[in-house]
Amino acid sequence: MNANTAFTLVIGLPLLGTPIIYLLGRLWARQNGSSNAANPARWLALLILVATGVFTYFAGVGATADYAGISLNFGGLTLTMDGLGLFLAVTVLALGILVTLFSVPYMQAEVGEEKFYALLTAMIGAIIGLGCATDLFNLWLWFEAMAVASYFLVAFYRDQKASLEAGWKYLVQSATGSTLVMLGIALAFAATGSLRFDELRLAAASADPLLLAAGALFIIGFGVKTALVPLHTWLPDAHSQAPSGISAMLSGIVIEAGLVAMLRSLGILYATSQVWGYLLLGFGALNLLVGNLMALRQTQVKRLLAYSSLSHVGYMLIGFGMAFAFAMPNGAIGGFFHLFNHALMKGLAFLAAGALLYALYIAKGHHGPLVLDDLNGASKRYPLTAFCFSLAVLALGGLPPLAGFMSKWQIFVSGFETGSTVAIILVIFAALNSVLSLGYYAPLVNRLYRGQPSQTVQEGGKISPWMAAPMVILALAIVLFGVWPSLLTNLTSRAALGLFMLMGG
Amino acid sequence: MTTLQIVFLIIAAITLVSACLVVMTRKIMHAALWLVLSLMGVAMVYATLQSGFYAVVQVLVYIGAISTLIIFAVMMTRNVMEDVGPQSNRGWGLALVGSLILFAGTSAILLTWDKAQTVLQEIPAVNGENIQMLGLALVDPMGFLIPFEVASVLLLAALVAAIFLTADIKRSRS
Repeated sequence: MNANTAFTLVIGLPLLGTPIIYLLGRLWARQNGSSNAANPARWLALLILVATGVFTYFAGVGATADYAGISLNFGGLTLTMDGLGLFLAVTVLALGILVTLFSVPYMQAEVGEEKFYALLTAMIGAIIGLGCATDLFNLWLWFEAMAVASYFLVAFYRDQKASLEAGWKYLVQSATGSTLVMLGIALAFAATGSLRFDELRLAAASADPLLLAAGALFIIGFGVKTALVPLHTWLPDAHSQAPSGISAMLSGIVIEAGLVAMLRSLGILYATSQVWGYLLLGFGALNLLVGNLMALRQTQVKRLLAYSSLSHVGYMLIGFGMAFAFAMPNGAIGGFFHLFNHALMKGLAFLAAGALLYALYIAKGHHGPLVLDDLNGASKRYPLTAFCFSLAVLALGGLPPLAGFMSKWQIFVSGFETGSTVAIILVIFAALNSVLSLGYYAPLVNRLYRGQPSQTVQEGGKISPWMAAPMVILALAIVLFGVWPSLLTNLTSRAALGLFMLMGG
Repeated sequence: MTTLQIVFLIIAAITLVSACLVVMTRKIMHAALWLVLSLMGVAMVYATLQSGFYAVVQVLVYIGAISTLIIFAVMMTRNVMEDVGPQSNRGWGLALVGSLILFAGTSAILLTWDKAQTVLQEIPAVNGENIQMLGLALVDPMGFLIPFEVASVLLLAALVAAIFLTADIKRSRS
């Protein structure tokens, strides 16, 4: 298949599919009222995502044939699938397809089920587009499209007070961030007279105060979505109140899409200042510490996982910081590797927690949070889910031979390669934080296997095979990439190459 | 201070005050109406910058179309004129400090930019040539006629679909 045709379909299919999924689902729901039968919207969404995945393969074959990737022109607008765009598309589609599968029983018979699938498809489409944008304005536009779809998904349980509050908080903070990015884009345009990445990069060589301000605004603005520490307060609420499939998407890929947008925009300002790399390293250290300390104090499982996302963003920031501050290729490759592994690991953790939440609470019609005490002895009633959950948290904690260890290791190696004292101290700090994180991951496993099952667990419902299948696939992938990490090297090193080409090095 | 600067200051004050009232007023209908005034202020800013075309488009699109849409949407919601309590919370002082710092920082940086020191000069009038070209391009088959018509059909379809989909909710309620 022609790579350009495939690329057009990769961009177009999810966006064109969104209204069709909604209309089909809505019309079907009107015909059938509130019956429990399967709404076809989910199958259409799944079909569209799988088809997009197949086309991504063909587009990827074309995009990897040459370092510049493949480009599409629509009038004055260019979309390029380079290594970074391909990497983001592969990650989001892999997680998105599994989340859609998982949501089949989870969202069954919820009011507005068709909206869920339509918005999920739109969000995935927007993230794919975000990776392929070639100018700042389109980057921002795709970023906003992703954000708008995610607001409604976070506040999906619209008659739950906590869910609406979380959605509102997310909306206000994220919109403020987007406004700051817009201001940054305006400053960059004022200083250079162009918004295209390649032209901006050439014009950005001098330390113009306008460009410095623009870079700072990009860090703050995209930092709200990436959950840099003082700007993270929306995240625990949004992650814990969203439907579990969406928690997995938010934590696994949406905040990382914000990170990719930040890296793209800072990459073109690379020549302007040395300070970006150090800022990323500083925020990385702060995220690690605050995320871990806050996670230690949580009593709700999904909030705990949400805070652990903060610390994992910290590892990625340290990796990318090494790339920006010391031009370490391993830092960027490790950062992207960790991004991919984190999508798998945190996706699995949220899906497993969601499966338990569904079986213990939602299937019985009430939306209580899943607290740590509910996990006690859950392995006796739910052996498979408990095993997958334990595997996910141990991988997140960085135990070899699971995937999380390999990517953290690569980031740490890049820190040692710099030979700089600051970087080495930072790596030791990150490694100690990794040990600290076991302080909340290990008790989870302990509870699952050693506690006595509570009343709630003993009365819990069954977990459908539709929920189990994505968990098993993710668990296998975590083990596979743990013992054979070089499988992904081609993808991650091309993503890093895409970033370095943007930086002009 | 020239007359233009005085006019600009008055327009800016109107725009900012009405923009603040959009978020501070307690009744959502009043918020929608203040938004119209704020958008009108932006149109006047365009007019003082000699962008007559943008001023007209701002009035037509934002005030004529989008504001009308917002007012219709507001009228469709319940409790249009209900007083729903204070519109601010305890943190408003911090938010104000944050916005002022951002404003001061951005202004300070823009003041260092040499092009910000340029004195505004009057642009010689061009008898609306560009606008005529734009108008012709919109109805020219070799220009933008097809995208223009496709957009119209799309909007029409969206309108019909919106009515069709919301009509169903009304019926099930009654």
